[in-house]
Amino acid sequence: MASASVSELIMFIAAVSVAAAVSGALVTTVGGISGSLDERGTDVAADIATDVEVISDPASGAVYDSGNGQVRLLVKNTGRRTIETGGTVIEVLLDGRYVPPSEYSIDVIGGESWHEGDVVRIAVNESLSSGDHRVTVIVESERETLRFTT
Amino acid sequence: MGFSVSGATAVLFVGLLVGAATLYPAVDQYAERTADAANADDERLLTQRNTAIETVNATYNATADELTVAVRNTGASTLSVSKTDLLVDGSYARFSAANTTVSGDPATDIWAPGQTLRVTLSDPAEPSRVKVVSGPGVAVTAPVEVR
Repeated sequence: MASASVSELIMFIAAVSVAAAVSGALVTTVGGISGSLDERGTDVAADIATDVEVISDPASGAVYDSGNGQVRLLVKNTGRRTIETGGTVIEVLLDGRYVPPSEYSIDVIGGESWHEGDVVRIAVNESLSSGDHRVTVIVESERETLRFTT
Repeated sequence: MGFSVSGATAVLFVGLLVGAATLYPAVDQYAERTADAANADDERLLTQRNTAIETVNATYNATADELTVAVRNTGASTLSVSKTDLLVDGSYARFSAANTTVSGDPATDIWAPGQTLRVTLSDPAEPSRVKVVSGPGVAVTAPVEVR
């Protein structure tokens, strides 16, 4: 009789231990998912609030400076948030080719930060042959393409 | 056997409850954040679609080296003078509140529908074209008339 109680106690402890381990794993996993979901929400919201517009005048001939071999773009922040200008937040493609960040400089006209409504000047050091070209500016998931003739 | 099953079930149930309690606020906050952002984006798009500008004239006075650009707000949204940009021959021309007037008023930043924004800039080189970009990104390009 006593052996039956002991084996039942062992079974009970084993069952509760396994259940506790499963519960623990469940709570940890759900906690991780919650954290990721929270970060993702912030990212998606920031992405929706981001909007830029290339305002350069392609017919004026000011987009490409043939003397210095430089493509100059004016990009306006038409979204609802301030965009970081350092790091790799802003990416540039020239004729579909990736331009490494060392090849272009970004400066905000009349300020330090690229607030909403502000314009940045992106100068890409790249010599182009005469003809039609296109340049794409990528900020988060927002892309804007400008086509111009040199 | 009966106690083991009940005990294990109770522990698992508590785990599920704790998990659900952690997950629910995260899902709720995610939905709220994205919905807020989408709403704000819709409002921005509405403003953009309600925006229309039209060049009244762009003239260059060769004797005074002065460029005058007059743009009319033909849309339904109120624009901001400080968020309006001017490109002269493709280069960014900075203008301050000192050389802008909205329907004759030099002090205001509000450019309401139907009003005309007049920008006066001194420019030694004779420009050939100007582009005016409003705050929401709606732009207009015009040739410069030399007088």
